[in-house]
Amino acid sequence: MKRAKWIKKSLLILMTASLVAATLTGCGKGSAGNNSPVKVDAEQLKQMVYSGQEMPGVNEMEGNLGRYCVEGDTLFIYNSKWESEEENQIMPKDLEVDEQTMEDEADSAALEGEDAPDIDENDEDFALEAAAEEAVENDEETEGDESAETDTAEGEEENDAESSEDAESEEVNEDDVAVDEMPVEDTDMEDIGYSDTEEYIYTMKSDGSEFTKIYQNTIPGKDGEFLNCMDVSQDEFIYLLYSKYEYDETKGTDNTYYTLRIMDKSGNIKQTQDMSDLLSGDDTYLYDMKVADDGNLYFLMDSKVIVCDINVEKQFDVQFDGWGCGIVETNDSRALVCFSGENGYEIRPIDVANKSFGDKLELDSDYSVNQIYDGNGDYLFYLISGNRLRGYKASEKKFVDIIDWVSSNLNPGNISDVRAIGDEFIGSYYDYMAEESQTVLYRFTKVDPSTITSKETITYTGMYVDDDIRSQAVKFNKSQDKYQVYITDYSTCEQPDVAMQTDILAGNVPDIIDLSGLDAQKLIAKGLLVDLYSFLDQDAELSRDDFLPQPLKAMETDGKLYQVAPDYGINALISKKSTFNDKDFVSVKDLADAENGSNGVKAFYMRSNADMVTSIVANNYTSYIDYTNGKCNFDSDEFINLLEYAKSYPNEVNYDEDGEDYTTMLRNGKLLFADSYYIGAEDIELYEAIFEGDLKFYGYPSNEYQGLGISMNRQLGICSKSKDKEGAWAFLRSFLTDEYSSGSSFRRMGGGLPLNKESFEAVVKRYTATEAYTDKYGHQIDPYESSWGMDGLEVEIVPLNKEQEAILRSLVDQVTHVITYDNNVNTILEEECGAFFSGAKSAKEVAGIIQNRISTYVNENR
Amino acid sequence: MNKLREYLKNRNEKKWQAILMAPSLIGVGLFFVLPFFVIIYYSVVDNPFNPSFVFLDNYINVLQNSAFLQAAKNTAVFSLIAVPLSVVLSLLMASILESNIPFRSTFRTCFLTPLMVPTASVVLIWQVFFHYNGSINEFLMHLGAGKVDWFKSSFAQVVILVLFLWKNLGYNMVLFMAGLGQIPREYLEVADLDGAGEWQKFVSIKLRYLSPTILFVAIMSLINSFKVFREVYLLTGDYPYDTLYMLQHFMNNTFRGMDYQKLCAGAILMCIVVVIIIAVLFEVEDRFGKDVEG
Repeated sequence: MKRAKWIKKSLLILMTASLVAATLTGCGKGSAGNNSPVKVDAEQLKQMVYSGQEMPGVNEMEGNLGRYCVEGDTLFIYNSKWESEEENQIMPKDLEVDEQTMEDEADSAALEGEDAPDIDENDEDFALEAAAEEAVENDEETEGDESAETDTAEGEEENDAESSEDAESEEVNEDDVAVDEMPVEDTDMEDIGYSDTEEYIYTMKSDGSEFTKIYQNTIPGKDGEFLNCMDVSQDEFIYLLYSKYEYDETKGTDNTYYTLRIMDKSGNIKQTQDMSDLLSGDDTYLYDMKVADDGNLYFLMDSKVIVCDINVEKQFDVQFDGWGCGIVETNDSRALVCFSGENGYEIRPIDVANKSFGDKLELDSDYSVNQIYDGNGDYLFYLISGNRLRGYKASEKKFVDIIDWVSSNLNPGNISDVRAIGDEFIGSYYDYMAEESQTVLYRFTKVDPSTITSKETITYTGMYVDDDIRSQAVKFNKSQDKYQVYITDYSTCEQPDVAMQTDILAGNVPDIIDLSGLDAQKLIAKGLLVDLYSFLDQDAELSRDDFLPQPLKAMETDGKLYQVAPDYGINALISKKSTFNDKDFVSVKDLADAENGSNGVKAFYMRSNADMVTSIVANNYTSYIDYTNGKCNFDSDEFINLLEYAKSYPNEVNYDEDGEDYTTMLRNGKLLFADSYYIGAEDIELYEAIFEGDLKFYGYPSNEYQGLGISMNRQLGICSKSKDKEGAWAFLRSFLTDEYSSGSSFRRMGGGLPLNKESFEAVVKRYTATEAYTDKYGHQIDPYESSWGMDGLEVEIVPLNKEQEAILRSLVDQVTHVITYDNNVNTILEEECGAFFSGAKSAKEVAGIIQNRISTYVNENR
Repeated sequence: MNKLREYLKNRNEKKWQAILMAPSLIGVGLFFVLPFFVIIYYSVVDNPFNPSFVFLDNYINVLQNSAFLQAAKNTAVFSLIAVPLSVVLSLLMASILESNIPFRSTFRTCFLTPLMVPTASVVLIWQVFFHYNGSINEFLMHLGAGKVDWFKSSFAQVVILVLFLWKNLGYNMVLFMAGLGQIPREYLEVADLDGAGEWQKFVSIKLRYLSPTILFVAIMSLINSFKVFREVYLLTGDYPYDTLYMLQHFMNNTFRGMDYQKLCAGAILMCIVVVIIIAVLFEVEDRFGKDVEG
């Protein structure tokens, strides 16, 4: 009896114990969710392999691909050619205005990058033409039809890169500045005009047969007209909507005029109709036009859809809150509208019978639905999301993966405007990474899975995988027969970091991991990453000597290279040398002294007090936090001084505040530091001009010399659990080669400096050469010329002289550490500093609390 | 023949018992016992990605981790103070309410009200009271005293203790009142006849009969004292002032940081402590209450 009681008790205790342990460890928490990218299944991938071939017959076409439509199995292709006989064309004012509209749309930037590699560097006028052309093309693109639209994020990056002070591109920057700064008043509108545009319309079957030119026309430059939208009706009438901008000098306003031309399939214009009254108006903008098989015309405006009958008589319109993204025709001949509203993207059909929107489509994931394409067969519509072309099955309310682009050795960033014809797809293709490329039509045909040779799969995972990675993966896949890189992109997940972490915990560990946005040090501490030196030291071609020693050392952790970035940005403060008596480093006290001595002088521009604290701590991370010994240094006088100094900055930055501009403040000494995150060669000349030659580069304020910090661009690592580390290294090393860093002019335009020594020397040569030369990849490089216009200061950038080159080299030599932005530390700092800044607590009290809380955090993570 | 029938009857009963118990046993086995063994496995390997057996290294690492020790100390101190206080005060309140005092049912309702208030609201109320610029500090300022940073000073645990008692006393009191109601009146009447005083009756009869209830209340309070993390987390976040850093903070943060080995080793250590405490409580209950149990 007693024994039975003990057994009962023991069982009870065991259950309690397991309950406690399981509850404490949170079993069942953090499920992977529906959105986690699936584990790689090679056989499943084979089903998604399509071959992409240039459409036969397109070589015979004149002009450049503008847009195309599909009706049945017939393609209707619109090409145009810009006549460039007139050498001195200047972009008219109305295009400038339109460029402003473009800036409002993230998509617009992509084309700038697209055209940049094509620019003939000897043709100074080309940039102006290109800019004008871009403006025109961008207007066309607003329909969501142009290849450049496919990657908004990248477009934004390019735009940033080109317009930022740190951009390094030669031609494009120069021209951007020139265009940006071209004063409208200086241009005599009567003397200028567009070049004539030759337009062509071709028809062909999807297999390339029955290729016919049905139409050719010259649009006189003075008309300023260009094709905005194009679609084809079920009875094969071609609807061409042209736009024209005119600047009304008397009113100072811009007017947009729309003309619709309806053409039969023989190229005869059957009807011309002025659509300006219907489509123009204040603050309205036409996005796209769709001629659906239900016999209606749909015009997608920025916040409404106008529905007309086939005679182009307005029937009704439906309004929506948000911004229109695209309009497509479904497999059942309805119009489907995508717009972004308060609750994210919405896709709704238009209910013609009730003159309203139908029910919102239930999407099983938050895909980037701004690129949607016409449906056919079983699929209501298609979209490109991440690495896949997906079709939406209305009956099952879910997406089906159809094409895996990288597995098909295609970069999805190069593909846009996809149309399905039967089981095949047609799409616009533009290779952004190529030195010279133009938009062409591609046909994508499914490859018989049984004919695909099995290769060893190398998985590459990142929270946000960009086209550069995909392009590199495609290049790598094509370059050898042993490995096939598969890319897992978590950006389509609702919470990319959580989804990625959960997948890793569940054992779905990739071979190569992009550590951007992750806490790399924690992963290193947990043994997730391998020391890349073990592969680098065994590599037949690369060795440690091929990389710049200081940046490479900065990327190390305890002498091991767990993560490496092909390029990095040096973060430095630039000041007059005389301000701090040519000291090697500055302390917070130095800043306070310099500010106190002069009225209205500040060290940093547009910074809040909390921002000051977090940025200085991030740049001096190791002096405040010693992970090895679990010690923190926030109750030190140094930190208390920092708090007291930061208090002189506002709680919030008022960007609308009128005051002296940045450059003027730097020049008149009211601003001590220019803060550059990606120092490039141009910065040296720019700041030499601003500080009149009296300049010095500093790290962030510290009590002892800390050197310069860097931010890594795309730090990569190999997982310790990778089944094929050799294969992973084979792909990873491709990012470290000179060919990667210097081989693409597109990539050369990005910010940052390369880690590869040879690539760095190429950068130096590019910025110092006084005569034109051809680099080892065949790029024709002209002596560097650019100009900067900042707040009234004009700076002509020319090749660096010897002293300036020495400064550039010394900046690299001063690199000592990677800047660490620790979110937990920053959160605690921001939460606690406020009490001091508001006067509720003393600096010492706040420092004590911060010390207490961050110590707990640090000790917990040891 | 009878023996056989009895044997078959017993066997039939046992079969039904097993069938009826099966769902809950499978549930507990699947969701608690099985993960428990997974946790034990993780606690003796070096990392979940490339596991190799390291025996007690993780335990040593955790025992040397000052954050874990701080969390364990805070949780232990809180439980050691909160559980006895909770038991004693609720027993006292139950005893008072058992006597014929006016507004008895009103008091009982009042004491139970905190149970109905959602945690988020409780936290909001506590913030209003104990924030640096909250009501209590305003009141202290009127009295001429200085402000106290209740959540970020050594007072922090006191604030949480008050919150814990306020929230849990009512429930414990009801349990004790039920226990007191179960005591046979005859014994108390006999004791009265024998001239026993109130204290003697309380110690010798009531406390004896209440021992299973005391055990239950103590275990419930212990579990609830671990669960006070919820309020602390909502009040102060992931990394509170060190006196409020509880074991559950350590567990949650290490889970989020993917430090599975440390998490599991910590959980097992914690589990061992809880098992010992519960075993001791069982033993104590056994010794004190065995003469009143059937």
